[in-house]
Amino acid sequence: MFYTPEDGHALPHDPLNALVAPRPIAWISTLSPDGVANLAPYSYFNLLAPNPPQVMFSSHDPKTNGQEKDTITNVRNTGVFCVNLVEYSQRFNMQVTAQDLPAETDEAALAGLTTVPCETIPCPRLPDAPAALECRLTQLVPLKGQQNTMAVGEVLGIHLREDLLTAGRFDHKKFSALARLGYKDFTRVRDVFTLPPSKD
Amino acid sequence: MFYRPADGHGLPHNPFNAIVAPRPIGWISSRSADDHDNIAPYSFFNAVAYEPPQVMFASTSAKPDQDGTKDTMANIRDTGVFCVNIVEYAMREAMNATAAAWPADVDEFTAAGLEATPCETIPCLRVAKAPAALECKLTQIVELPGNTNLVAFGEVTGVHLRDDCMTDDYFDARAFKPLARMGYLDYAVVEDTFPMPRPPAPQR
Repeated sequence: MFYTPEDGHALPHDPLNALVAPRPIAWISTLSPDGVANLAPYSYFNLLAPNPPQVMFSSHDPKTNGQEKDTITNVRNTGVFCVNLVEYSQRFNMQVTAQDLPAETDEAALAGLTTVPCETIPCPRLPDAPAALECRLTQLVPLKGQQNTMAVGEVLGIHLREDLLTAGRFDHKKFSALARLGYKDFTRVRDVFTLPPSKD
Repeated sequence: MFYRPADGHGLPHNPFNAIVAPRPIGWISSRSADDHDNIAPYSFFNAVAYEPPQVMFASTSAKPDQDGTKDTMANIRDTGVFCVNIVEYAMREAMNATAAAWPADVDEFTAAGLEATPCETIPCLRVAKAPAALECKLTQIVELPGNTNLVAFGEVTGVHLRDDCMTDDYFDARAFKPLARMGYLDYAVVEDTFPMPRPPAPQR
């Protein structure tokens, strides 16, 4: 089938998020200027560049009270954030932090998660996450539409959980990365395979 | 372990791309101002907004025959349009063939033996048998810190969904098995999916 978003998809559910998938999940920890910790998952998230290392995430819908999401407000106000990666076994904790909660709620505490301070930025991180990327905001890019904003961060510090390293490689066979699909669906990485670079 | 990228990772291979994974793959078709068709895969790619629907991809290196970038970004800069084709597991070898650094005047569709067909809303080719394709109009190109780091944003103006990938009006990943990029030279395939409804907002 073919449709133009302008005219609508005429399906019971919008398929867009099912097309761009699987999406990696950034479980983003931030602090408000007055020290309230926040934690929330974002799947409009990816790498942007290896050198200097940069990541992006985009916030594209307001809270149910119409206000900007706490994560983007905190990043705007403090200039830092930490991307924690999510493994399959943490999926229910992650869902607890996906709720639309008041700004004063500490989602990590609500989900029973331990946090420790980052090394390079004033922000908490999840020590049990497979990896964490400590980021300094470099720019906020306004996108077309209301409250659509992409944050770009330069990665200043990287934590890799020791038990996931095999001969110096970050080994996806030692854990199952959680990833977002469309609708209410998720997937997990169970196996990886190699495609050698083709010769031109 | 902990490291500061500015000081180096001290490992045999850079783990950075393995950390943010699995990444969706945008197999991006474009056309040069002088009508050479191009297609190449990008995994620094994602949706960025729902209303209106927008996607982004980043290009982080340059070819000697382009002005500080690669063919895809150069074409989009010149023409303002591109098409994101979605890659299924069965197309992995063809996708990989288009990842090579071909000269700007090589049509990778032909080189990889891919059937192409014109887009509906933009002057560009798409992969005729891809599970889905997103026709996009460029909204902006943003320069990032570092040499040749560029991110392009597109508004989706047309969406193709292959009919055999639809199950009860859902676009069904299990029907085609999306390919995804991991770190190093590794890939993954989506084979099983499970629902996790978002918890409701608590009562206040």
